[in-house]
Amino acid sequence: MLSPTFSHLSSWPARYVAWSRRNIFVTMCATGFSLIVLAALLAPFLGLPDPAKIDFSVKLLRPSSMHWFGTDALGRDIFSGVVHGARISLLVALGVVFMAAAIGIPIGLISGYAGGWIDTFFMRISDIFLAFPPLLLPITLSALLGPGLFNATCAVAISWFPWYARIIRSSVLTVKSELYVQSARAIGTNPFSIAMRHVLPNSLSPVVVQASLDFGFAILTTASLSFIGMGAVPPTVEWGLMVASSRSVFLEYWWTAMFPGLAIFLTVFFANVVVDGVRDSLDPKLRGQP
Amino acid sequence: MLGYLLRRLAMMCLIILGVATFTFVLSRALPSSPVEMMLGSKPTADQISQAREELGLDQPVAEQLGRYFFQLAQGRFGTSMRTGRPVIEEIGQRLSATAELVTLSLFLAVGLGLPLGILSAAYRNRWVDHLTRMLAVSGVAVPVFFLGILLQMTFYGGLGWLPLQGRIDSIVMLDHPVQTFSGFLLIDSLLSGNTAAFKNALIHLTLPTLTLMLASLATILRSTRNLMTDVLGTDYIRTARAYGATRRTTYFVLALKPTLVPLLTIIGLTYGFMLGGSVITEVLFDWPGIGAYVVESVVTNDFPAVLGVTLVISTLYLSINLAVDMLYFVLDPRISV
Repeated sequence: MLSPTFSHLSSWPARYVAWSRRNIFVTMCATGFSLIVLAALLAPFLGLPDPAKIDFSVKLLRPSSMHWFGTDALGRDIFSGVVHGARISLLVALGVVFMAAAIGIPIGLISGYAGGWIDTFFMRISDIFLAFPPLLLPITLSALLGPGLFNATCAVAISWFPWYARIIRSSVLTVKSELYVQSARAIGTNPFSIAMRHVLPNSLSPVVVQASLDFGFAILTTASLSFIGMGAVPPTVEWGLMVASSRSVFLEYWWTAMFPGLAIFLTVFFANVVVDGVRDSLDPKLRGQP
Repeated sequence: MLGYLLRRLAMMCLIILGVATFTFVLSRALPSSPVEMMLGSKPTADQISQAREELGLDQPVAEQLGRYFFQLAQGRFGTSMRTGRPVIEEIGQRLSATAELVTLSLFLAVGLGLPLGILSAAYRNRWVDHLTRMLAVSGVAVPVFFLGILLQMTFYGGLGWLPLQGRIDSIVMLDHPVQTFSGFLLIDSLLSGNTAAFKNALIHLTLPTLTLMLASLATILRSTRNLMTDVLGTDYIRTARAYGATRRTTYFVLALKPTLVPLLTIIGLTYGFMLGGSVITEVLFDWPGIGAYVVESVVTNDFPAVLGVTLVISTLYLSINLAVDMLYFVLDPRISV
C-alpha cells in the first residue's frame, strides 16, 4: 500500500515507479540499504580473504587493487572486514529490536489490560530502567554480564524494553475501551483470548513503527559499546571494534578508521531515511504534502 | 504546585532507591566477581575466602544490601578497588569536567539549533531547509566516536590547529595555575584574568564539544523546524500577519512561544543523550570526567565505583527531568497540576 495519490495507476509496479519518482532520495537510500543487506547475506560467498586473519607482512597497506580499503595494523583486510561486519551489525540490530519487543510487548499488554496493582508494579519497574540516561544502562549491564556481542545485544534490549512496554500499554488502554472488545467481553469470551485475539493485534502498529525507527539507533548503540570495549571481542569482526582498534594508528593511516566508520554512518543513514520515507507515505496526515 | 513538587521528589527518591537495589543485586548475582579483580590472577582458595569475608560477600544478599543502604545514607559510596580512594571523592573531582563539557554543548546546540530551525521553517522547502535537513539526518546517523575521530584527523592531524585530547596542557597548568571557584576551567580562568589558561582550555574544549553537540543540534533543529511549521499554518499567525505584525515578531515571538513547551521536552531528552554520549566523547578525547570514569571502572570490574557513578548519573538525569517538568509551569500558565 503506497500513497493513494497514485491509486489511479492500476498495477502495483506502475504505482511503485510513480512513488519512486516522487521520492528519488528515499529510493536511492533504499537501493543503498539493499546493497548493504546483500553484502551481509553474500559475505561468505564473495571469495574475500578471512577478515580476522592476522598477517603482519601486509600490515597498514594503503587502499589498492589488492586491498580495496587497505589493511589494518594487524594486516587484516579492511574491505573484507567491512563486508563481514555488515552481517554482524544488521543481525545484532535485529536482535536488539526483536528482543526488546519480545520482552516489552507481553509486559505492556498485561499491564494495560489487567490494570490495578499489576500495572503499577510493572510501570514502577520500568521507571527504574528509564532512570538511566541512554547508553549508561547498556554499559552497566554489559559490564555485569561480561563482554561479548551476545551479552551486549541483551544489555541493549533489556535497557530498551520499557519504552516498548509503555507504547504497547498506552495503545492497549485505548483499544480496551473499543466497542468490539466490550462486545467480546459481553458475550463472555475469556479474557486471555480477548487480549490475544482482539487487543494485541490492534495495538501492535505503534510498536512496529517504533521498532523500525530504532533499528538504526540499535546499530549505533551496539557499535558504541564495542568501541569502548564492552561489546564484540576479537576475533569477531565488528565495525565499532574495527574503529576502536584503529585508534592508535588512524592519524597516519586514515583508512583504518575511515571505512568501518563510514560503513556504520551509511547503514544508519540509509535505514533512517528509508524508515522515515515509508512512514511518511503511509501516514494519512502527511499525504499530499511536498 | 508545592504538593506536586514534593510528590515528585518523593517519587524520585523511591526510584533512586530502586536503581541502587537493582544495580547492587545484579552486581552480586552475576558471575564477574569483585574478588578476582582485587586479588589478580590465580588466587588461592584461602585468599578468596578471606577476601570474601573482608568484603562481606559471604553474608546473605539482603544483609549486604541493608549495609549498602546504611552506607549510602551516610553519603558514602565505598572505596574504589582500583585506587583505594573514596568513590564519592573521585566522582566529585570529575563531575565538573563533565558538567563543563555537557553544559557548553547543550548551550551551543540550543543556541544554534533554535535559530536554524526557525530559519528552516521560515524558508520551508527552500535551499536552507534542504541543507539543514541533510545536516539533521546526517547528525543523528553518525556514530559519536567516528565524528570525533574525523574531527581529530582534520583539526589535529591535517591542520594542526587544535590539540588531540586532554582538558588542558599540564605545562600551562604549571605556569599559570587556575584557582578553583566553579570547577569550570573556562569560567575560573576568566575570573582570575588568566588568559593563557583560558585560551588553552578553550582549544581543548572545542573538539569534544563539537563531537558531543552534533546529534543534539540535529534533533533540536529538526524539532524546532517541525513544531514551528505547524504553528505557522494556524489562523492566529495569519491574523497577526494581516494586522501587520513584522516577520521578526511573527517568527521570534508569536510563533516561537507555543513551540517552547514541547521543545523543552526535547531539550530535556537531549540532555540525557548527552550524558550518554559524554561517555564515548570522554573516552575518545581523554577527558577527565565521569563518563570516562564509568568506562575505567567497568573495565577494571571496580564495583563500588560502578555502582556509585551509576547512582550519581541517574540522580542527575532524574533531577534534570524534574526541573524540565517544573519549567512547564513557568512557561505555560495554562498547565496546572
